[in-house]
Amino acid sequence: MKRYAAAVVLTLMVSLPTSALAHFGMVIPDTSVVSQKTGKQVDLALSFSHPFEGIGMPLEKPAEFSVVMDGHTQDLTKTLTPIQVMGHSAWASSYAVKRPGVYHFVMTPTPYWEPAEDIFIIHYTKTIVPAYGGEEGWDEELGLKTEIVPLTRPFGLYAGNLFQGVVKLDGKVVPGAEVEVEFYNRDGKAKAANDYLVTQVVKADVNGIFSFTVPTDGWWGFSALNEADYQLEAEGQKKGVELGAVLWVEFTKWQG
Amino acid sequence: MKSLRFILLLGLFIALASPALAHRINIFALDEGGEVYTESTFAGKRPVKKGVIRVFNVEGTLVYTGQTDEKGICTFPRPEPGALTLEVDAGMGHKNSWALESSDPAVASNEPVLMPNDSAVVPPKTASVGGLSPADWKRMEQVVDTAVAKSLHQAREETRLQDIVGGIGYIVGFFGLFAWIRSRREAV
Repeated sequence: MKRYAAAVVLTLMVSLPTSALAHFGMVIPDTSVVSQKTGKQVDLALSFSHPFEGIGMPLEKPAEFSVVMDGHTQDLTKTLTPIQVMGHSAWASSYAVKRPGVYHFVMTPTPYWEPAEDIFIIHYTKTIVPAYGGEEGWDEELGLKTEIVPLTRPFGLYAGNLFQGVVKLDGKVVPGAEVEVEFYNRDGKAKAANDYLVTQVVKADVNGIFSFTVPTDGWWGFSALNEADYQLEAEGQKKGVELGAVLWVEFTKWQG
Repeated sequence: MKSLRFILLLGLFIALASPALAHRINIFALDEGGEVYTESTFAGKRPVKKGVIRVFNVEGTLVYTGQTDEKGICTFPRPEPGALTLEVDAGMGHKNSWALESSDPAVASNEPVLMPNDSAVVPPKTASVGGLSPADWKRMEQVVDTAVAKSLHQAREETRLQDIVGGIGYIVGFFGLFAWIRSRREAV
């Protein structure tokens, strides 16, 4: 019996680190730049996942999904249709871009209860797509509960470029904020020699500014994590809430 | 000596002009019910003021010339219904163009035959005529191309086997459809 208990404990110890994988809200468009060549329609996939491992979690219908251009917000929540991403419930949206400009697509999910970490997770997730040569407004702060405001233009980037952003919470910079960085391993080809290589971590400086250089082309997620100043109830108890400010950026392979 | 000075001056002009080349020029156009609206900017920000707008038809004939205003905007009635190329020229090699589709819906069928995410297989319009004319073959080629492009695109996007199989299914389905139409015609 004692041996049995030891086996259970051992199994738990082995399996627990796995569930501590980094969670990422995901908003991935089918094109990172809209042009006459790509056509006006942008199809977006909204999910909640471990992007490197390709492990999905169910994403309940987001509380809000919207697009912001030049300070104007358009609610796209009604356009959401259920899909599957990484074998779990996710959401798709489609948006026809009719004019030049920079379009911020933003997802506000409902709180996700993660029993393994004894915490609620809310990842305010966005991606920024320019259209028809428009370039104004990529550095716009949207005024989310928490967000990464890019300092590097978040499109037209090469793998190997330095990426910088400011972490904000309630509109204020967060000195020393922790930012997790993860690659969207869509085809599963990327392998990590150890767990540290799945999720990389960088801290913001005293001004809330973080800097990171991604090693390869593809979609990369930056997720700044902070503890909320409020609690939510689960299993009859008050639980902490992790607020994530997630930004997805595509880096392109250098040609030539 | 005079010619040397001229060359120096020319060199200086060229050198001065070069940095300006880094300013990406951009044109966007929209046909709003026969009224063409164009908007031209530098680097997607500053308007191109007093830029020249030239419009060419598919034969390459200049069919309209206009000028942008202080906001980089130039509007004009569509000179002809066919596809047009709109060019903005701010001088010093600052040029770009926008391809405006034909306003005639029959010609402007650049839309894919199979709409993405549309699982309903809609038979091409020409099929109702029956038989396989050269136009039908061309149509079928387009359908197959679109289906192949769709399956390849999705394979790249998600690498999901069922998508590839689904794409091939479309192709087989369309071949079947055309074969059926042909057999029906032969029967008559």
